[in-house]
Amino acid sequence: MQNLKQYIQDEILVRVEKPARYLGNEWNSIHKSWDKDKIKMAFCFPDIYEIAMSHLGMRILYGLINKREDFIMERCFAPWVDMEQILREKNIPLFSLESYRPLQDFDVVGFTLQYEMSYTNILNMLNLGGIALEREQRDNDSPLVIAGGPCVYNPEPLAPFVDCFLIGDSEELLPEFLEVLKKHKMGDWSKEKFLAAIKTMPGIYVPKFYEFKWADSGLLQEIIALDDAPSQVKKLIITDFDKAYFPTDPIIPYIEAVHDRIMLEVARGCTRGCRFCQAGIVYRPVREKSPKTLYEQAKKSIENTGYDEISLTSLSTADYSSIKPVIEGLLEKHAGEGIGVSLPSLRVDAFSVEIAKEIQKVRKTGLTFAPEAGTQRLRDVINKGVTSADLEKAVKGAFDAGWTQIKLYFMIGLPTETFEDVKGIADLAYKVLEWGQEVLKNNKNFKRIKVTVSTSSFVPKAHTPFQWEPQNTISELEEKQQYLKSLLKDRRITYNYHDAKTSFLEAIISKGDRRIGKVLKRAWELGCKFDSWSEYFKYDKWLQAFRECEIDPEFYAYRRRDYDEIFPWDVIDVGVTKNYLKSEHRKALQEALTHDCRYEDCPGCGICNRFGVDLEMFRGEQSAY
Amino acid sequence: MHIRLMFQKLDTARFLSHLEMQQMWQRSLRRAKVPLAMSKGFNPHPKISFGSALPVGVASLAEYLDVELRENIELTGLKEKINACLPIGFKVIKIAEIPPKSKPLMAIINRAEYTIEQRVKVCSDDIATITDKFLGQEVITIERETKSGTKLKDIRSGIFSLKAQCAKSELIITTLVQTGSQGNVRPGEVLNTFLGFANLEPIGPEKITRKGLFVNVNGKTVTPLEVLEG
Repeated sequence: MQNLKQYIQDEILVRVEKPARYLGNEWNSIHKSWDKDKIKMAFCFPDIYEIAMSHLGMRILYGLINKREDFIMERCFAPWVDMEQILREKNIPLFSLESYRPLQDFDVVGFTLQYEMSYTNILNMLNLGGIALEREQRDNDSPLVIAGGPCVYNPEPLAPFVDCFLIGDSEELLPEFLEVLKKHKMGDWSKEKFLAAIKTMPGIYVPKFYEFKWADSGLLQEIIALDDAPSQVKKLIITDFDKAYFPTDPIIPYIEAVHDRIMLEVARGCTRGCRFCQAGIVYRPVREKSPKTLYEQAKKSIENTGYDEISLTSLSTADYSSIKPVIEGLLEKHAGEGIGVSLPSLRVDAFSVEIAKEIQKVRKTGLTFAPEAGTQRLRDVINKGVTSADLEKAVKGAFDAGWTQIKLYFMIGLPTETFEDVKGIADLAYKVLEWGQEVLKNNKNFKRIKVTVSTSSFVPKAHTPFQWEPQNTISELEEKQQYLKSLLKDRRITYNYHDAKTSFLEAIISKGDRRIGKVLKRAWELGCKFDSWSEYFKYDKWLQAFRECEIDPEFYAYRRRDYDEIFPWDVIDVGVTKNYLKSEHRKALQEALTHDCRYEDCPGCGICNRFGVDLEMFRGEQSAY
Repeated sequence: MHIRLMFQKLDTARFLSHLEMQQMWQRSLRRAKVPLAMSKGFNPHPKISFGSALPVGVASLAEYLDVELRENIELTGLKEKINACLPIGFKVIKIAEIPPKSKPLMAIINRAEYTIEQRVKVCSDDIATITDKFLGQEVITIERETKSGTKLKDIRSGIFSLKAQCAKSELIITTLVQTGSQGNVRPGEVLNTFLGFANLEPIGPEKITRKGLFVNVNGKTVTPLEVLEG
């Protein structure tokens, strides 16, 4: 592969944009010799380098798998369109970054599924890597194509292409999977036998052992597990999260990544119970790391990376039990070296602003709040436990501390939403302006206030209380966007919104089934890729693909489901029961709240008693420095 | 304390843009535990400044950067310590302490020497004569893309010397040109005008290496390290 590497570096890299995307020899990258008895896996991220290199899951698995002498993990990302064109022209297969080997040379080609709109890139990468798309078209010696990540909780749209899915926390699952693979590879290799052997492993879903029967109405009638495969695949959860492997020597990207900093995962899971949120369900239960572990990992990370910022990541970092002492401890230790601490998101309350002030001592970061909905009624529907008083305290606190730019995130198209609720978003934005003027006037601060309102469009997701809900139509969403735009005419307010057509497709794929796989392939054949990049999103080609496959996209996005409907994703057991989701859905329609189990008693979602796990928290443990 | 580093940017390091390289240096120096001085204000950043930016894809044998430190450190062994923390292709050659009030590299560097290698279809017979004629031109006009559109520019006065040889379809040009705030001649511009003038047809991409950056004061050309010695 030395020749390919030399050729690409001498002849091709000078012709592409940002050639440093393709070098593969960044600081902390791992280059192993390709011995015959090692298991080789390509970790594939179906988007470009800058996005891929921001992914914490890859950092974890890359470090973990490469620690093992008998395993090799290399990276492979979607080449940008200019590079792809040259690869296709010159007939060069898509290669891994570390050894410049074609994807087809690996034992395992594993994709992380971060968002549905990257699925056509998966097909494109397989094709560029010289691998047949459909699993049935691949022979015994083709690489195993596997997938993991948050979108595997509805694996079915990709079932025609992927040999097996890893459901759950991969730092435990993947090494076990590769271990079994290694044993099979040492003997007479039979992919058939291997897949048959792993189909009963916890957290492994092998789609070839499941048959889906549809009624003439198009509804799913039955999911049949074949050859003693489990009727439902339970996700695998790591317990004792505090002791779990965590990489303190991640690869330092050459090109600035979207998240280019130390990502210190303080907790996994969230129990706030926002009813639209899939991550809140599938990552349960909440597991925290101890402050002591965090301090150790922070120190090592700073030494090994040279980064000047630590982001304390999780689904809701302000909820981490010891967040304040941990921030104080980190700053006390490292602020002198010019190291800052940041949070990916804030809660809408005064406590979060206190935290933000703490952080701001070293580095000024923007302040973003996500009330999600404009009226109290609708916030109760989605179980976002935020009141207007919370927002007032948070915003006034922020202005008082010197911030003059506030970003507000909302969703439009939520179940039961009316135009009154949409108007509520504008009302809130104006209130924020008013609160800000008041505080700034009192403080004799004459800076100009800027409020940015961003709306995304609600996409009903599998395994959430809103999985039975239809999505607003594209025209409804666009009407709401225009209405809100007409209300937000103040020049101190900026309004951004997401493309409704993209949200429509996201809804179809995220609640899709095997039949959607056909559409994915056809859309890719018609030239769809980088669908999450607005300049490459080809909506008309997607519609053409649906027509040609004789599949009605509205059946997936706009249909209200019955409570007794069987869903394609019912084959995956995420721990939270369907009955609990139903009761949450009913409560939503009654505008009734469900409290957070970390503060009050158990509302009975099912994860802890059914999976024999518990919340892991370090409440009250103070700074251990 | 202020220090000046001379370093190489070879091999795959040549594909890093100036911005990417700046990030790389900040992180590498921190890994090497070099006590970087930070700017004041809301967004503190280390006080590191570079000489002339290299185009992506161009290698260099002699680049420079100045670093301000928050405390005095021992220079012995520093080079090795930093080199152990640099990605492939980067290598520190020399480090010297500089006076705190030294003029920034950007302001003093005004000469750059390049070697340009280009495969061509057929070599010209008399490359020396062509070179003489090329340099004999009063004006060498190039087109340059600017924000306000394509502009014509004369680069002849910015080419101080140029030697070319061509054998076995391999053209090699060595040239000393102007760089910096007073005017900048890009090696690609020299190559393209020379190819056009000599009627040579290029095959494949060129390979450019910056051999040195210099300071020309009172007719004397010295390196940014030599200039310190006065």
